[in-house]
This record gives sequence, C-alpha cells and structure tokens, in this order.
Amino acid sequence: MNKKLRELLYRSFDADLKEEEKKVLADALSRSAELREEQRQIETVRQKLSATTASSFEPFFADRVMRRIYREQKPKSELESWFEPLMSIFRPIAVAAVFIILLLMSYNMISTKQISVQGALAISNVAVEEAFDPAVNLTVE
Amino acid sequence: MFRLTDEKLVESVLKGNEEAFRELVRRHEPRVAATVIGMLGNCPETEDVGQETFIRFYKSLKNFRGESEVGTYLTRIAINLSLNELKRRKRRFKFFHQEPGEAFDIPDERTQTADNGDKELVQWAIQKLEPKFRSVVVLRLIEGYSTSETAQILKLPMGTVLSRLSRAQKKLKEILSPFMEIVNE
Repeated sequence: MNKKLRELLYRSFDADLKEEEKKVLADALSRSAELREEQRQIETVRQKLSATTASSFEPFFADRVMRRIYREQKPKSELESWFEPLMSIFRPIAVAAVFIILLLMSYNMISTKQISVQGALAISNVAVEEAFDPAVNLTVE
Repeated sequence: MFRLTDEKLVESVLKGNEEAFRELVRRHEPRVAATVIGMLGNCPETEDVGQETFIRFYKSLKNFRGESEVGTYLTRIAINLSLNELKRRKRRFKFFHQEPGEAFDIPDERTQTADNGDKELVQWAIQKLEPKFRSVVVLRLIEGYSTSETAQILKLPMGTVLSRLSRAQKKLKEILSPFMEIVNE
C-alpha cells in the first residue's frame, strides 16, 4: 500500500484535509480494498478507545480530597515548625558528612591494605597488655 | 435546578467557601479519572495522582485567571503528574531490571464479560504505548479533545500531535489485532 496514502488516511481522522487531498483519498479508497479495510480497522480501534472512558476513582473521592486539603491547611504545632527549618538545613550537611566518612574509611582501607572494619577505622591490633605496658609506650632516658 | 458555573465556583472558593471546591472536585472527577487511569492504567497510584491533581489546582487557584476552562486546566495538571509518575515508575523498573510493560498482565478473557474484557484489553494496549504517544491517545481518542486542544494541553505543535496520533493508532492496531477480531466485526 502506498505509504503516502496510508498517512493521508490516518490524518483524515484528526485533521481537515485540503480539497485536493480529500479527492486523492476518496479516489484511492474507491480503488483499493486494502485501504478500505485499513480504514475500517482504524475506525474500530477508535470506537473501542472512546468506549473505554473510566468514570471515577473509588467512591467518596471528593471527601478524601477535601480531608487532605483540611489536613494540609491545619496550622503546624510549635515543635514541628521549629524542627522543619532545622531539618532542611541539616539534611545537606548530614549527606556531606556521610560522604566524607565513607571517603575517609576507603582511604584508611587502602592505606592499611586491610578490607575490614578495623582497616576502615584504622585501628591497629593492639592487645590490652601491650597498651598498658610502659616498656612499649614509654622510653626511658 | 440552578447550577453555578465553574468560574462562579472558583470565585466562591477564593472567598473562603471550601464546599464550592468539593463541588468542583465532584464535577471534574470523571475527566481527571479518565486522564490518570488512561495514562497509568488501573493501579493504586491513580488515586494519589488524582488527589494530587486537585490539591495542586486548589493551591494554584489564586493564580487561575480563567484563560482556559477548569476542565482543561485540570487535565493539563493530571497529564503532567501522570508523566512524572511514569518517569518514577521507569526508574523503579530500571532499578529492578524489569521492563515497565511487564508489569501489566494480559487480561484473562475467561474472567471478563465481553464489554469489560474489551475495556481491559484496550487499557492494556494503551499501556504498551510510549508515554508521549499515550498522552495524545488519552486526550484525543479517549477524552475527545480536539487536535488543537490536545496540542494546547501538551504544549506541542499541531503537526507533532497529528504524527503521534497516526503512529499511536498504527501501534494500537498492531497490538490489538491478535486479540480482537477487528476484521470480522
């Protein structure tokens, strides 16, 4: 089927064709059974689509919308109005802090060459006795 | 019975009569439902998007200058929110390595009445379209807006709307033909 004629056929449903185009399409439709069939199929699809209109949401939709509006209009408590600006200020700071902590942890793991919690926190394996042994920690002159 | 126009209802809401807004919601619920369900399919998110549409409208009432009808204005909000929801859905599906189309099962014809089955089938087919094609189909072919109104709502040139409509119909015909006996109807 001629591609241009097909395009013209589809366009004829939604746009006003020029007189010349109308003539071309009418002529083609009278000659081509295939084009007539295509026209009928498009009409059927369009009918099916226009019959699918959903009419509503669940019952009492308007009530639910009004409840939400009342809820959103209700003045906030003193505590909420005190916390909200703080939250918005500290949120980016918290995200940045987490990022920096992760960065430091990965640096520690790379420098200690240890993929473990100890490596991430850069804690060396020191026994309790060693930690309190003055011979290890103090130098006597 | 005397019925207030949408403009009068909007004026009334702006003067503090919130019951007038309830009337606006009741009046335009079918249109918003058609848009949202058409765009997202029958899923739990439709209720949230529907509610959000009216809440956005309520919040922007002061700026509503009546240049377009209330219904058209609401449809525009509903389409934008639905497109946002589809983007969110796509991101979610990407995260779980799944195609968005897989979420919708082919309706089981044994459990459907003929009319209901057709509706579900068409709804399923619409969900197979890309969002940009889906929006023109919903506005033009389901809600019955004219092509110029569709172009206005979607802020697209008329030529783009027409070509998207053609492509969407071709695709729908392809999707539906194995299921519906279009030829023999």
